[in-house]
Amino acid sequence: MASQAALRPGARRRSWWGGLPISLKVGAFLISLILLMVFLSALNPTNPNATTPNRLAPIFSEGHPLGTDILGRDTLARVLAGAQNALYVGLIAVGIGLSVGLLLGVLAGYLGGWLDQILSVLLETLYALPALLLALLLAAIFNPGVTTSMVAIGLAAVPAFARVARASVLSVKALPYIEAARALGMGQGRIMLRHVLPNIMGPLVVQASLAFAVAILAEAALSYLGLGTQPPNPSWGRMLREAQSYQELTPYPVIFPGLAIGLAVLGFNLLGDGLRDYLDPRKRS
Amino acid sequence: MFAYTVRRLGFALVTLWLATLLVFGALLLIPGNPAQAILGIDATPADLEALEARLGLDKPPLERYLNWLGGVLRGDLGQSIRYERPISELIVARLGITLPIVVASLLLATLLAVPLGILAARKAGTWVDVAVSTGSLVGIVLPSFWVGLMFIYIFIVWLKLPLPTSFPIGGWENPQRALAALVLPVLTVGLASASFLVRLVRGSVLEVLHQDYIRTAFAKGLGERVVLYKHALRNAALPVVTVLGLEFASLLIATVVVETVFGIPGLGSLSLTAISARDYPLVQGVVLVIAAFIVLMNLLVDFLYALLDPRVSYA
Repeated sequence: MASQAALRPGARRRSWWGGLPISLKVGAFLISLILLMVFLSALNPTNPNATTPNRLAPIFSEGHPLGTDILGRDTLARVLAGAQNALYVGLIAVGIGLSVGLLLGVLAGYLGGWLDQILSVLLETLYALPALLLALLLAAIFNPGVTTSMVAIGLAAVPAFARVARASVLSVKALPYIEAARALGMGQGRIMLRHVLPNIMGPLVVQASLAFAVAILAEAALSYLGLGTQPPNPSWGRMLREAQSYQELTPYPVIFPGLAIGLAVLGFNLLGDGLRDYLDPRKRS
Repeated sequence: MFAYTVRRLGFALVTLWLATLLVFGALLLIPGNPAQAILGIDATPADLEALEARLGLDKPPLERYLNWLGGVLRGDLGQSIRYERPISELIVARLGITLPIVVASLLLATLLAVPLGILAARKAGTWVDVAVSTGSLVGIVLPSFWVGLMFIYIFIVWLKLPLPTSFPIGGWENPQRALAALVLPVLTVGLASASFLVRLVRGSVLEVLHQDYIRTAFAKGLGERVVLYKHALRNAALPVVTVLGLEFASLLIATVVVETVFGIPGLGSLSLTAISARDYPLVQGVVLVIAAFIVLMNLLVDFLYALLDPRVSYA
């Protein structure tokens, strides 16, 4: 039976898909939903910031499937636009964390010695300042806003990326092919770029996915506190802050942004978990 | 053990010192004149000069840092501009509200997560495990402030439970009202924390259950109860204790958001007021105190780990 199945055209592709962890599949599906939201938001003719006289419309109202908020703004359009905002902030923040963390981690792991010691202490200090705390500090110095929050979330992500990069470099460094490259007379920089970096990407991609989930949660929290995305721009956290004051009148402007945050965070968490299982050779059958 | 203690202590001290440098250095980045930023554009030159002198802006940064650090070492974080009171006094007063929330939430989280995690590990792969794991995933991905808002809607708007939606003005003078005001915040933070812990307890118990000495214990003919409670849990507790310590410190800052949901004048609202009033010394103080809590908890956890697990080497 098995050999017959293998002979059928397309069987190989199916088994590749079938071999993926379920969390990876569900995570990828949820993230494509978020991407679809961004796409729909771009196509949506309704301006998410346009106020209408139709205030606090319930769900399934004509023209407002998810109702409207106290200013008559369309909740669906704002939730969709919020997806764009969340992905944008997440992308920049994870980009900062990944690039700085990768650089520091690779340097510490590859060169070792006193540089490693100093970087470890510095990263440990940064680790004592969570994203929210860094954001408080940065918001006090510069004006609270989306840039400040992205930088704070990105900086807070640096230690985790650096730790993963350093540990992976240390394990790769001990492998014989690095010794071979060195024996061939390759320079440090070339070995790092061509032989070490490509081989530590797996754990970093996993970390990036998990950091994305953290970034979306942190952005929502900061916007909720008034330290992130500023009005009238739609952000899921910002929408919750605004809707809180009249939630006894209608719960919908509170419910939907929260569900959207949960969906996005779940997607990136599952994708990260799934990728980790998939890339871990011990768990692969 | 002695050498390890000294080294670990030294490391914590260096981290703390670097944190003071970072917190102080960050304020040097303020664009323009900080006194102007605090007072606004309508300030008179005399007012500006007075505030500059009070903030020590007329002195070089190094001297200002050393003065500030000297104060910090004596427990004096300076004066708040907004409140005109010593910052350490303000922080201690707010900790009196935030700490009880954090401690009660952790307690609730432990009481929920430990039995549920053990149950899920024992019944791994069954519907009980799937239900517990799904529940914990839901708790992890939903933002705690949204859950708090939902709790307000469900318990107060919908079920009309007689719970106050804000902390009494007099604080703990009216303990009954104050406690009632903390029920929903503790439920919110505690459930979020329990979601993380359940995963950890489950994973940790599962890992221990697969080890050889557990098989040996079963082979000796011991019952499941004895093996679980006498052999497995003791070792499974180790990572859980560690995370509990770290969770304590991170809850201190995570509570900021939940405090805003429930209108609780804790450390969170103090830091938000400090930012909107551009009360730089107060921001410095709050950030430093929380960072210090995190460093100290890390230190404590490391010591506890070495103490509880004889396999951890001190070399």
